[in-house]
Amino acid sequence: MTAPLLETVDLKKHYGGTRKLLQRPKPLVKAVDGIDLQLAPGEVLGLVGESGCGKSTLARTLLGLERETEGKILFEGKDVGGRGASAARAIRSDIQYVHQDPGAALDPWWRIGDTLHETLKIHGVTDKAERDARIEEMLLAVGLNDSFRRRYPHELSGGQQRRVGLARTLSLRPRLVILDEPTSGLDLSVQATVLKLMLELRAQYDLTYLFISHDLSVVERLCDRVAIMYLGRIVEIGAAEQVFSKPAHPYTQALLASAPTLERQEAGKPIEGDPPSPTNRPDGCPFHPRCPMAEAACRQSVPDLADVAAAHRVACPPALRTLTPQ
Amino acid sequence: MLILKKFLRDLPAVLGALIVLAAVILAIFPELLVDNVDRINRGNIIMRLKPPSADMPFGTDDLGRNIFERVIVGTRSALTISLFVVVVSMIVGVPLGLIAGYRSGWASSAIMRVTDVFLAVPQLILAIAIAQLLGRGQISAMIALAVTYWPFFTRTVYAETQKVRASLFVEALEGYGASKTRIMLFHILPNVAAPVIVRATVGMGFVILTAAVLGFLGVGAVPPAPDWGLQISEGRKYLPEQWWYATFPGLAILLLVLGFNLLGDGLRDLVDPRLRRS
Amino acid sequence: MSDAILSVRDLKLSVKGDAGLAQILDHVDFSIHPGEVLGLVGESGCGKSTLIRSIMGLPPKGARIESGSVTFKGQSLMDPKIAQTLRGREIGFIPQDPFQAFNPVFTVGDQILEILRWSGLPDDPKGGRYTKELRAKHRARLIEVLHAVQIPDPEEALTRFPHQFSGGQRQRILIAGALASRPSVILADEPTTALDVTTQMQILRLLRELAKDFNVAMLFVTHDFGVVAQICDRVTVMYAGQTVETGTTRQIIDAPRHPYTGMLMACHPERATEITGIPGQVSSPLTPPPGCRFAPRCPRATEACTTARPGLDRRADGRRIACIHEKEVA
Repeated sequence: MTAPLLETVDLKKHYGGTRKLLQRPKPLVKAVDGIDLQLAPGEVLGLVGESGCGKSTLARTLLGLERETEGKILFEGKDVGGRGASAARAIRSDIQYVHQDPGAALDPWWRIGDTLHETLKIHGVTDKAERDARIEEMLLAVGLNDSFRRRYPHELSGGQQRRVGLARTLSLRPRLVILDEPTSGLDLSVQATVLKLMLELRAQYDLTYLFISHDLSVVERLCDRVAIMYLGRIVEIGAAEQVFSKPAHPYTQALLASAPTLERQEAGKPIEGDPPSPTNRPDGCPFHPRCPMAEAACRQSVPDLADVAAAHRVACPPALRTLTPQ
Repeated sequence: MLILKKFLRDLPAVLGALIVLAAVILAIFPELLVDNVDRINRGNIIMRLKPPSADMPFGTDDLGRNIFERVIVGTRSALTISLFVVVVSMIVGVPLGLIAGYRSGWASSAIMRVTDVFLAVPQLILAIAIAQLLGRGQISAMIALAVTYWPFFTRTVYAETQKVRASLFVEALEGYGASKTRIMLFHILPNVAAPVIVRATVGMGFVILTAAVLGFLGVGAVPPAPDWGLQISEGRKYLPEQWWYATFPGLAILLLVLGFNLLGDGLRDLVDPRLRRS
Repeated sequence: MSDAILSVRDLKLSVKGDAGLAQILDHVDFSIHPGEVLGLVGESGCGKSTLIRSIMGLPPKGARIESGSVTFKGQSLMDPKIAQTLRGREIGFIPQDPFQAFNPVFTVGDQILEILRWSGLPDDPKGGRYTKELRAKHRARLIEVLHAVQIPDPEEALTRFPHQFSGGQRQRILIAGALASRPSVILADEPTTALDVTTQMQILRLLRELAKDFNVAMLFVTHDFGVVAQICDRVTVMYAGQTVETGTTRQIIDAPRHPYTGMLMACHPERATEITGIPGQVSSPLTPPPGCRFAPRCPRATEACTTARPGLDRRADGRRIACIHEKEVA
């Protein structure tokens, strides 16, 4: 493996837990709790998890919008962590973000062109001709013609808004793009064209994607590697084929069994219970109350990721034992 | 132009706009209806307390002055006071509301606590107290009203800013690394402008009313200024026999306040039909 | 096959708005039989929501039914009075978003009993007053149904507030509310879109069992073919306000015959050989193309497609297809 583009070491983001003057104490929420992640240049890493698993917090922390509580963030081997929001955004300008709902991410009072200009201005592109050129190039790259500059956000369809969102982010020439649920709420036919566009753009601009989604079928198609998150921790990570064909963690198995496929799934009991909230996490392995494989040790300590195969790691000792006989 | 069409369909709002427009024109060019603006304070004892007639439609006051002319000229001071108060309140209140609503921390809390203290005391009573301290006169009335009126803008802007701040486009801009000042000035301010304009329009009427009360209570304009509140206060002594003395300045206040309120309500509907009040 | 319990016949509906007359539905045609789950599939803007509202007898403001009918057991649902008496009692509804369906300041028990008070149970005395006994009866029935939807400790659950439940539990309670009055038809408007995958599968399986146990017919609106495969017996596909194809779930998913259904299935990540989309955009209902509304985006379209709307003809394999090019094939 080449040197990672982005690396996190034991990254944590906790909220609350402290008591401020004249305020009620807020419960401690461990939204992100010890994430080790490496992104190789040019790869697409899928980050999958249900609501409340901390994937959005992880994205915000990587971007620098939230300051990490603990741990390291390295970009090309350089430590870029431990900074407040504006300093972190400045040093991490190679990392950019595409919003889940790019329509709502556009100021309703601004024309598309003005928004695109502004984004570049924020990043210190002062030459107007240069900005114009970049915007034209990007609109073209995402398949919109120049007339879109004069339109207002509400005049665009969902697919077009997403294209504008991509153009906006890519005009900043990022190296790593965090895509937050880029296809949610889109119709099937539009979703397909947006996914195709994202793959084309990745090849054209040498991008690395961190692809956050809960739609497993999309992740399977698009991603090189997949990380499965549960309550602030990565429980399984590996090559997409590996994880989808031989899921090792019981949660991953349950997740895959629950994804509605085009065949009716009669067999297999669906996973019981609801995703627990991060405010009251169980001790030990966070998944043990819902886990069919849970044993006494699972209640005691939080398991770490361990190799189950080449480039496939899982945080579940019972699963490891069955899959890798001594 | 769709907006203009929609506005023109709202009859009460159009009526309000016409009243306000007429008042503004009269405030700038009182000569249109008054022969000699400089003479309105000059009395004529022989003509004292004459009832309305074709010549003097509102009658005359205790010094024999033409009430009609004094009411018309009074428009200017009423509008000047309210415009000054509303503009100053906006200049102070809007930025404070933006800062308090968008930033969090002790400065934001401090602004809102001070605002709450001001809002907890009835504005009129506070204004009277301040005007008394500053000494009688139109200027001190204006200052007293401005000092007590800005918290209303801070409150409105604060609430609106909190709403806009939570929206995704602000979050997106933060994600792209936009500075807080840029977000506040170029993105939040335009989005909160509409309710502020509505508030300001209704506020114009409100200030005219409070200014008249100050004048009436004798902490505002000084005689012989043709102030409406002052005129009512002087005319009060002659009620009910010489009813016209207090009635016509009162009607002028009523009409102009009504105009501003209708216009403000119309603007509110235009800005957001969901806020329509019955 | 038994008689249809709910049928929509040749429904054509337009809505007059600020921008002009929008022809939202154009000859929508399908029917549901007792105990059957019919999937209604279509992309945004195909008129699904308007259709659901029309079936409930609550067409959007400014709507005008130009032709066709919506009937429930032979009674017209286009008559607001009939629709009013059937809605909630004979026709249950499960909303899309369980997070917004409840008023946060009342207990879930009070809210659902309030609905039952107005809709009533089928064996309630006619025209009677709402007595304590009646409320107790409704409550007992609700607890029975809450058991069926697997809410633990229903008695206690009724006294709790909405925010004390997770999304999945809230959706279960809403399903119980819809089932309590023993309806014969349930309209489910994307009831699992707002839920997580694992919860979604639980709810889908629950709905599948309930439809069988309670012998209700269900109209299940969704845009997700994966969900369709899990729960629906038959599927009807809509495009831009027109019904384009109706058939069994396996027929539609495995061998779609209408060009639109085919292209849509090809977009599904599981089926797509390469990622493509459907070129072009859905036409505006203000200016619908004459004839087949899919013609402007259809690779098989010919002159004839743009002149007359293709009839929804029944084929040898039992399905109904609105495409003149699909006539020849058996």
